[in-house]
This record gives sequence, structure tokens and C-alpha cells, in this order.
Amino acid sequence: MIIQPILATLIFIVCLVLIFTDKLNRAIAAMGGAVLMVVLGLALGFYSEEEAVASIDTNTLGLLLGMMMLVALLEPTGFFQFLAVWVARLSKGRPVRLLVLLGAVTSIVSMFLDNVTTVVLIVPVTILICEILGLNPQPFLISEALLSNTAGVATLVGDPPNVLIASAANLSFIDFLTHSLPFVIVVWFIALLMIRLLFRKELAVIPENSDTVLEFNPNEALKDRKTAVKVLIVIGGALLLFLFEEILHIRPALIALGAAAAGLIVVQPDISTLLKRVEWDVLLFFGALFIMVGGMDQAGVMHGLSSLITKGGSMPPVVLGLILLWVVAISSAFIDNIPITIALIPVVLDLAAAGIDPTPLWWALAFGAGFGGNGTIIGSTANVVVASLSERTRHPITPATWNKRGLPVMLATCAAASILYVLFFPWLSQ
Amino acid sequence: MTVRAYMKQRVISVQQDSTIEMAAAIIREHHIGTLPVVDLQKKLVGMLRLENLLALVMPDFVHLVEHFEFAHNFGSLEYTKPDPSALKGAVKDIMEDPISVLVDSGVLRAAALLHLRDLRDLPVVDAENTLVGLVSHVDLGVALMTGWELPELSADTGL
Repeated sequence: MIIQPILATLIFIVCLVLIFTDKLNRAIAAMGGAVLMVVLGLALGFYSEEEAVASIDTNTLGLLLGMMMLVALLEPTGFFQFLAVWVARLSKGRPVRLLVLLGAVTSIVSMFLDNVTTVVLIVPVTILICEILGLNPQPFLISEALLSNTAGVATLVGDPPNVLIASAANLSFIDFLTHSLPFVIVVWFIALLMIRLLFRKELAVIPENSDTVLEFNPNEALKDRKTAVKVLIVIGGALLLFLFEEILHIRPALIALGAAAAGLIVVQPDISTLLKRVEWDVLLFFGALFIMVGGMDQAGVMHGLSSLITKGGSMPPVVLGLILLWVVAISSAFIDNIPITIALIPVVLDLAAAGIDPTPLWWALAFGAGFGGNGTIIGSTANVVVASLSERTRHPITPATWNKRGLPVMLATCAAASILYVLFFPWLSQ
Repeated sequence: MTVRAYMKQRVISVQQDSTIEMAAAIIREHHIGTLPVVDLQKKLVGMLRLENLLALVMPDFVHLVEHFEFAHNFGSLEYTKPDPSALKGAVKDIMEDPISVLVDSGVLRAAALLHLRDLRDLPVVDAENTLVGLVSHVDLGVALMTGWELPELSADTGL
């Protein structure tokens, strides 16, 4: 029946349009779409309630929840602010050095922890530092978002699309370190060079009051050293276990939730305050998207897409990978990269079933989703958060400002990723 | 116990069409925190607080960071002056909606209103909304302490 895939796709597209046009909050739109999909599936007989529940990737949700709880434990200790203040002092108030150091710290932290939280906590301190130095904070804020988006691609827990891909493709934490991290290091420096070039005028300003930055006391930014140390040890333990997940035969969700439980036991925070810091809307969004995309899959949409690709003649795998990378990158710049990733995962799985090697395609998906998000102000959640924080300052970041700086960075990073992808294609196929 | 007995009757106010720099001059000269804004008939139309003026020079980070103990010295930021063009605007462009009490209101009601809205002074109006006075949180607080049995202060306690 041709009507099933058409209606199922329609529900998904209407949801994306509602989110894209800002008519509806993304979690609300996705939940409405998920319910509609199940009702439609029951009415037309292509999707049962059991199948809907089974389509939820609990490994992804568990990993995200665990990591969110760990961040929620670390957040009130002032650790993020400590890092920003510490590098501000190291920079001696020199703009370029400050930009590189703040970008590097944000990137390194967001390789392991949620980059939205990282950005939310580092941006206000950045604004303070810039105001004291008499600098326009915009280059610093935009580069923090761009660099942390880029760095997040490096690890399994770095950003949500990676979590999704790893879970679907059974890629391990080590697979990301050996296949994604080297690429990201190169691409990160290209992004940094582009930022340096695009903001050369703003960064040429000689700051005032640079002595006051030297008087900063990072220890006073760290409000609860004891708790910070405890939580960092727990997070370190979790990262160590991620390295051994294959040997131990455990899934990342168990490690993250286990670490969260350990953290809760050692810190014993006020649980209701802690739970308020968990981004439940993101988890709801994921759950609802899984159900929606599961319905599309059952209705035959994903199979239709993949047979369209295989019928289009035998494309060299590297070309298919590049097309996927750019399609994902461009759509991630304009729509949320999470629904794109969730929707494309079953397509890649179907291509694998048709005999195409999926491994290089997974990496294309990860690179496209990660680097594509830099292009526009709505490309990633970190961009949205940075822009909305900047609206409370005298230099609000507009979509046009973002396009002028973010789009070139996105194009440069995607182009660099494409070249590396072609050069190292055999390695990515392993 | 009504507000009438405790309010300041000679209240300093400003016309809504006055410039912001004029209002700032009045606030600085008279050392006051709240300037009621009136129209030509002396009807209360708004309120200009010291905070509204300071917003012109406050750095952005004060709205964003909760803790800045690590920064001990703000350098030349301490001496920020407002943009001269911002001071040329009219009071009515930056004033807030007035929160006032009637002259016959109870003291406790007025004090509770200040507490609720996190204000320090309250313009007092008559039934026709004409500005007739102003009470501060100190005026109201001391009024509420009227009946308390407290030690007499005399010359030999040195207070």
C-alpha cells in the first residue's frame, strides 16, 4: 500500500517544519508526531504499540541521562567557571590568545560532557572577561560554540548524533578515538584558523585593563572544590570504563548510569534540584523521534529510500559517503541534526542489509551532522543557546552575523572533512 | 494607622516630558532613590528609580553571572559614563509603570506591597491619582514599630 509511507513521511515532515519555523517547541512537536504516528500505524495496521515501544533506543537514552546527571552534579561546583577564569589569566588579556584558550577549554570539556551545558556556563564568564577588557564578546562567543560543536564529533559521548550512531552501528568508544578523533583534530585547527581570519578586525583591538585579568583568582570561582574533585574522579572512572566496554561486554548506557549513581552516592545532592538540571525535554524529544522514525521504518519509507539509492546504479562507496556527508551537513545546518541522524540511521542499516558496507557511511553521517551544525544560528543547540544569552547583552548575535562567520567555517570544515574522508577511506572502512 | 501620617508630603517629582539627564540631576542633587513621574495635572503616570538610570552604565555581565568573586578589580569599567545621547531621551521612555498606594491605605498594606515588589519607596496618591506624598521602607518600618516596648535611649547610653 503506497498510502502508508506517504502519510508516515508527511507526519515527520510536518513536525520538522513546525520545529524549523519555530511554531512549536521541538519536544512538543515530536511528542505530537509520535502519538499521531502510532495512531496512524494502528489504524492502517503497519505499526503496533509494542513495535513503537521497541523502537526506542534505550541505550541512547540511558547514556544521555547518565551523562546529564553527571554534568548536573558538576555544574554547581563552579568547575566550568574555574576553567574559564584560569585560561583568562593565562591569556594575559591578549585577544587572540584568549580566544584560542577559551575555545580550547570549551572544546576539550565538550568532548566528554554535554556541550550545551558547557557553553551555558562558560559564556557568562566570557562576557564578563570581555567587558573588563573592553572587547566585543561576539567573536569569543561564536567561536566557543563553533569549536565545541566541532570537537564534540571526536568522541562517542561528545554529541548526541554520535551516541545515536554508536548505538545503532555498535561502534565503541575506542572506534571513535581511532577513527573520528584524528580527523577532528585536523578539522578543529582549520576551524580555528578560519575563525582567526574571519574575526581578524575584532581581534586586533588592544584591550584595556589587561592587568585586572592577571588579578583574577580562579580558586574563588571554584565554589565547591571537594564536590568538584569527587565528580571529576567519577567522570574519569566512567571514561576509563568506556575504553574497556568491549572487553567487559557492557553497553555505554550502563557505564554512564552507573557513574551517575556513584556520583549521587558520593555527593548526595538535593535530588529535586539536581533533577531540575537534567534536560528532560531533550530526552522526551529523542524518545518521541524514535517512535516517529520507527513508524516510518515500519511503513516502508526507509526501505524505499535505500532501494532508491541502490537502484541509482552502483555508486563507488566513497562517492556515496561524500554525498551522505554533504546532505547531512546541509540539512543539519537548517534543521536540527538529531532528527536527521535518527531518520538516516535506518536507511544506512537497510543499505547494509542490501550488501553495502555501512562502516564508512556511519562516519560520513557523524561528520556531516557534527560539522554541518556550525552553519547557521539554529544549526546546533549550542548555537541557539549562545545567541539567546547574547540577547541579554548590548551586542546581540543576529542570524546574519552568524551566517557571515559560521557558514564559512562550516564549509571549510566540511570540505576538509571530505578531503580527509577520500584520502583515508580504506581506514574508515575498517 | 494610615500612610497619611507617615509619608513625606514635600515630594520631589519630575514631568514625564523632562529629559533623562534632568531627572538624573534631580536624583543626584537630592540623594533620592525613587522619582515619581507626573503629568501637567500632577497625576502620577510613572516611576523612575535609581536602578533605571544605573542600567545605562551597568555592564552586561551583571545580568548573566551569579558569582564574580574571582574578579577583584574592574579597572576602568568602574568609571563608565552613559552614552550622552541616551541622556537626551525623555523620562517617559525609560520610566516604569507606577506602583502606588492611596493616602488612606494602612501602613502594613503599604509595607507588604513594598516587600512583594522588592521596592524601597512608594508614591502616595489621592482618589484622583494626584501625587500627594511618598513613603520609604524606613518610614513604614518605623511606623510599624510604634507600639513596641523598647528601652529608652538617653544621653548616658551615648546613643
